[in-house]
Amino acid sequence: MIMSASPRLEGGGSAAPDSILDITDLSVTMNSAGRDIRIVDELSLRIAPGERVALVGESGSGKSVTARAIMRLDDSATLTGSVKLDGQELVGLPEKRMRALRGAQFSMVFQDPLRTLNPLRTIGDQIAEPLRIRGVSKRDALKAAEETLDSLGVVDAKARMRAYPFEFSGGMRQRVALAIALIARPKVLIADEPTTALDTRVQERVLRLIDDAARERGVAVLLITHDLGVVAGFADRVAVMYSGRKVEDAPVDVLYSSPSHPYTEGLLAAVPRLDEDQAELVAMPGASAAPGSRPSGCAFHPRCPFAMEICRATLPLLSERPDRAGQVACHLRTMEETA
Amino acid sequence: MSTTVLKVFRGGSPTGGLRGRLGPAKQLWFDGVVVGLVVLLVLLAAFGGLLAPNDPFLVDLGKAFIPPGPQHLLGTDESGRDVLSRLMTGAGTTLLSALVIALSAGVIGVIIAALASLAGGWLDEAVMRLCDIVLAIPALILALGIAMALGPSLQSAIIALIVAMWPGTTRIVRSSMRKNMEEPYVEAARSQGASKWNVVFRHVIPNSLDVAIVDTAFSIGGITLILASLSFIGVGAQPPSPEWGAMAADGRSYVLTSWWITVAPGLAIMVAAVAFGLLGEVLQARFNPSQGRR
Repeated sequence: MIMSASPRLEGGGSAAPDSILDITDLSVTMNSAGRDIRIVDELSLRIAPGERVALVGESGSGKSVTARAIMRLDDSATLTGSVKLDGQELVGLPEKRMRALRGAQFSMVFQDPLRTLNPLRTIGDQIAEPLRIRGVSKRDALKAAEETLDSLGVVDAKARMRAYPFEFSGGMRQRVALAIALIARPKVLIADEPTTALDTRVQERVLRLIDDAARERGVAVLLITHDLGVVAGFADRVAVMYSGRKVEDAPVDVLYSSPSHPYTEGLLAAVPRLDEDQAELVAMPGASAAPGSRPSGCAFHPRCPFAMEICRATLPLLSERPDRAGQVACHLRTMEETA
Repeated sequence: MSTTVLKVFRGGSPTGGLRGRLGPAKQLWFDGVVVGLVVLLVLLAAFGGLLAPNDPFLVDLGKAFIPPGPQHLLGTDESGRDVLSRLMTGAGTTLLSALVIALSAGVIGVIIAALASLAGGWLDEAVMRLCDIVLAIPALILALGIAMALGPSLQSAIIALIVAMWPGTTRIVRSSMRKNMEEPYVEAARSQGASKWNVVFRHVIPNSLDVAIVDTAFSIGGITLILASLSFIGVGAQPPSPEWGAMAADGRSYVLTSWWITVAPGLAIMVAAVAFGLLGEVLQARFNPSQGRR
């Protein structure tokens, strides 16, 4: 089961590096009203070439900040730790060299596909832009843009190149955003809530599109989402974040069948199901811990049904899950181990 | 209007929605009258001198102070010159100068806003404070001071007004840029490897041009007034130039006996100022339907 869950992890081979994106102890600190707040706390995450990893958590858990920190898009954020892209350290890299990597080595698809497109420029111009920035001639760039759009299943791509964003539906706009993200052939695609602004039926189509496009091009995907329902058919592996820390990391089917962290369990219970008769929606009690006022010990303890004395006092560290299939940060599991 | 222009027009305000291409009939009628009036004024400025029935500079003291009538529709002035002909010829001077001032101040204002944004930090702050200082002084007083320092002439008045007007555009464009900098498409462009320069000139400035255009259109009316005022006081266009403000000044002494010499250019100034002010309003409503009319 473990083998089938992450075939790409095993199939990395010796020539290729075993991880395309290697995040180690990444902390992101931002200044808010004169106070330094650590939004992301010692996050480690490794993504193999071509692997799809989902980073899941509630709003405010730090998942989007993590995405922006990887691309170094927020100038006001202070990063510590290490982010290696294909062996290249990004933390502390000069902006000019970061710029050369953005788009070409890794790129991003954002939440709101209308507002991430410039309303005044044609679709074709915008898709060609990442190539134009890199000195490709206008003719070649537009040709590549048309091919990319066409490969993403946009009917009559040639004609649609001259359209403006407002003429497109939400799903179509996200295709355009995806074309922009993929045209310079990056190795890693970060998708930050790419389907949240879309309606449910379009969501699935866009997700499948990202899936196919990434598979075709061998692009690794980091999917940021709050919706575990979206993750199931897409990711190889899931990392769960709570209040700036990674609390669980496991192959997708392991995580779904036997969640180890009480928070993951709560998240899974809260996914609405269409195939079962549900009288009420299940909700987790309490509210997510704000990064500025994080509870002591395990940040989840005020909401945790199994909270113990030790949870209030000591921060649980990530350790191997009892079944060795992944990692979890919970005192309950450590105690099971030693018992 | 071509479809492309319409697309850009509507695309400029995604929140404005797709409702009504040209708006309801009543609004269309109003906008049409305003645009028609402005076009008429511009045509007058361009060709008025050629169409003038008489020589605007021909002095004939025997024909002085003739009241408006079939021979001279707007009468003659103290030197016997035909007021209508002078008005038509003067349109070129007054309106073209106002257009040149508004466009120059607009372009300079946008460029300085862009450079300030690129420089960032204290330089950005310094430019904005300079704008605040200039804006704190009434444009007429500032232009008057500069024009006097440069020596009274139409050119001095034009330069003085450009100096007095650009900070308004810079201020408004810079604040719009600041808002647009936060737009997701800027972050998206950066995530594709766009440089700061690229972000400012290809994404932020084009999306801030609507406020610059509206502001420039609004300012033409005021500029016409100030330019005429400067000429009226004597630091702008000099006699015998048929600039409207100078014409009104010429007739000042005879206003009780020969009112038309002053009233005709005065009315022309008023019509032009109102027409361009309304043009600003029309553009404002078209670019930002959500903000409505001022």
